Amino acid sequence: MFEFSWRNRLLTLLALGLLSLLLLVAQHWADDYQLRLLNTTAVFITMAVSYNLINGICGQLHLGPNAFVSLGAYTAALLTLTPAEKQASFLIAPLIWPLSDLSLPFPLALLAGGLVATFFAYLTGFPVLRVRGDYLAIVTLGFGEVIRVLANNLQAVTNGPMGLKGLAPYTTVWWSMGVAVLTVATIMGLKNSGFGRAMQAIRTDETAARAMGIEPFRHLLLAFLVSAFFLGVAGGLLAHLITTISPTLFTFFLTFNLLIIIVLGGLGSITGAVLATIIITWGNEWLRLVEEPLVLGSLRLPGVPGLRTVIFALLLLIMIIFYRRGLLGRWEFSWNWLLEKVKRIGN
Amino acid sequence: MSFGGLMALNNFSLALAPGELHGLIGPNGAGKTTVFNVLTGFYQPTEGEMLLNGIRLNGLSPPAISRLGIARTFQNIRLFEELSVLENVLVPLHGRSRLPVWQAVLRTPGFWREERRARDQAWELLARLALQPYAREPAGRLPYGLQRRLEIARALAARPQLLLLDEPAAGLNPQESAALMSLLSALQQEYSLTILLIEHNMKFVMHLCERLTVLDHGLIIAQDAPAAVRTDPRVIRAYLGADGSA
Amino acid sequence: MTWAGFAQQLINGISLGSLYALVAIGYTMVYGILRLINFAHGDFLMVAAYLGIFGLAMFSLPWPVAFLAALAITGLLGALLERGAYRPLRRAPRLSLLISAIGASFLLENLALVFLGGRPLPFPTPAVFAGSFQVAGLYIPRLSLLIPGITLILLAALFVLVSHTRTGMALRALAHDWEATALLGINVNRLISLTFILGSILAGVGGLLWAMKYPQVNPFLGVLPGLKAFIAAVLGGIGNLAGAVVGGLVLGILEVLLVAWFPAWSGYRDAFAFVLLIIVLLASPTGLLGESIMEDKL
Repeated sequence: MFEFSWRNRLLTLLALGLLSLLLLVAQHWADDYQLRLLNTTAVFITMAVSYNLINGICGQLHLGPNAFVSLGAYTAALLTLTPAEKQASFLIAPLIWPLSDLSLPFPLALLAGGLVATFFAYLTGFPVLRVRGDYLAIVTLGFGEVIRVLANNLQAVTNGPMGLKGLAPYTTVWWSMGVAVLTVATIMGLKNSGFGRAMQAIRTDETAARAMGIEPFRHLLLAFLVSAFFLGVAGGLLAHLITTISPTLFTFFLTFNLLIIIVLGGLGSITGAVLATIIITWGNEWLRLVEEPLVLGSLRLPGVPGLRTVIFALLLLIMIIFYRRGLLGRWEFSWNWLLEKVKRIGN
Repeated sequence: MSFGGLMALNNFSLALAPGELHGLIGPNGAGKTTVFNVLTGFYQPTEGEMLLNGIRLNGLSPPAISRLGIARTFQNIRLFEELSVLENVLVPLHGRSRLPVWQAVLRTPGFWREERRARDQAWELLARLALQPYAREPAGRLPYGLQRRLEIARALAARPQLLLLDEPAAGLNPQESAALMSLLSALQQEYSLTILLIEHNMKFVMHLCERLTVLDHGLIIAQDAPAAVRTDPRVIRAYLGADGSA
Repeated sequence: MTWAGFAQQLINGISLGSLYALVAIGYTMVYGILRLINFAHGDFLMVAAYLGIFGLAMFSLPWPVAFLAALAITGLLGALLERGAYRPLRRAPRLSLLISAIGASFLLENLALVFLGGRPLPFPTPAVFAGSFQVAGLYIPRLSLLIPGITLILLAALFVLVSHTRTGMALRALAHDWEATALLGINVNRLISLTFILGSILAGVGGLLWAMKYPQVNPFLGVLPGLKAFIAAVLGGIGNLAGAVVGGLVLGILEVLLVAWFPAWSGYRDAFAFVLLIIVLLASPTGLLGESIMEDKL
């Protein structure tokens, strides 16, 4: 069952072809709003799937994905802006050299964003992965706070609370969807290998895993680095999608949203994370209605800020208390499963 | 080995010959599981030395010791309950694999070769222990007796020279434990194992083991062939209580 | 810095640290019994502060009545939180429990946002707590004396409760061994509710004092003090009541002195506690006085 198979590879290529066709259609026929929603969904798929690697597959409650997204976003943004643009926006303190003179094409800037995030994950991995459980949660949360405070205060690097404006909208559906596919493929590959099995063994019983020759630190660090890389790249994509970034974009609220997605999808299921991202990003758009003023004839009901979050917080609580498996539990999509299904329906 | 002033093990000394089946017995709280936890690196001994084929084990971490060739089972079964039976056996095989991570991500031929080999080995072990029919089931859903057997399969997957079994017959009925006995002596031959086992079931130990070590309050009170241990007055006293009235 | 300046900062630090200590106690009590970081604990500062505003400004109650009512409601809400969000998960994996706590925290904050709006409300500080005086060239707000004083009294009361009453004995037994306590015929659920009530009331006192010290109340008021108080609890060794007090004072004083000595770094103030936490965990993953955080349970 779990073997190399040309048939499955072919099916994967076919599916990718179909996706490309869909994107092509979208590019020509969809309006700006729809394209933007598609982009947002793809970027959130990247973030949710890489976040799920730590929380779902390794079973460690990581609460600082916002930090890595933020690092990637700032790095990529600082690299695609031209020196003249940077000089114009850094009013309080000039941008430090060499960032002030450096300018890179978008793909390289994305890569740099991912690498910077990975580098910080490596630095923090040592204190973070020495502890477990609630402590890991609070230390990663703290890391997110530290990065936010730095983004607010390091005027000469981040331009402080004003953030960076006027980024070129480089993030097309090709980039965002391409990265999402790459992330899913990488993390799926990792999960369906000895490394992934070791990570899941650590999640279920770390002591037993150690007794069986598995080094928890090595595997958790690996997961932490891979996750940080893709979170960083997603940050770069996000920055060039909304074209303006500031520290308020990368607060704990972002982590909270990702947490809801992976809990809804089923902790540990990559398929679930993708499915839940679609549900949550689209649901979020739909719920935008409740926060906007509602006009019914002559009656004008004011919008209620925060109501969406109340709904999402309730959703999270209800899921975790009454339906901990999430939508898919630990189930994962595979071609074999699909073909089985098709055969059964055929009969 | 001592815990905050309390000696858990004192002057413990044990030399196992290759291929030996050795029993570790003693009343509750005698320190038997502590011996296992020291041998597998979960506790560090305060004094003394542990050697495996001349390699010093003191100070090594549990995973390192496992890879050197000591595998164990746990008294209160600790399987990877959410993983399938097959995956449980695959985990220790990964611990000894040298495949770089990029090969796994890129699905290179090297990865498939390694995966194939690991799966063949795992299936072989499952077949040997008659666990094949359950391969795809989550380990946590197996009945108790099969879980015990899966723990042995998982430990064997680590390719140990020394296998530590913590009460393998606990909770088994007489037929099951008789079957386990013949299984263990067969496995010992096939995989050329040295086995150290903790067991409360006296019939089991007396039949299976070539030599026994009896622990009481962290001290060795006897170390001899089963027949000799059975009649040792100190052993009888330890089991029956100091005044012999219990 | 002059000695007078130093003394002045020390007074500020002690009053801030006392607030952290009050909140840290709640974290440490809950952690000692449930082994859970009650993420929503900090939000009870905000709840009490808003309730204080209602009592004082909307119902024009005399301040003792308003404050006692606010604290009573905060305590009940604490017990309710445990009932709704934590008790159903007692046998669930710890990850789920923590996620539930995070959900509860966001729910509280955003309910406040929905019903009370995001604009900060001024806190009508009663005259008793306002004002200041000068001694030996030092400027001392009355609150800077009241806060440590109130903290001291409450902590003394708590210590008496924990070490000299039957309930306290049961609480300690519960923290030590859950199953054995249940076997003794002690009502574990009632004890846990009591823990949450006491912890939330202490957080509520912290919230009222905080709102008088920094008289702008918004839905997210409790987030940062909550996190810092938790760090204080870890610094002092979580599960250890005296440790929480020491940790709170140390953190409060260091934070104030840092800003006083390096004014240019004041923007980094909120990151300081986390950096300290990371350093402490690096040096000793068990906290300064606490139990082992990463032990193998064999």
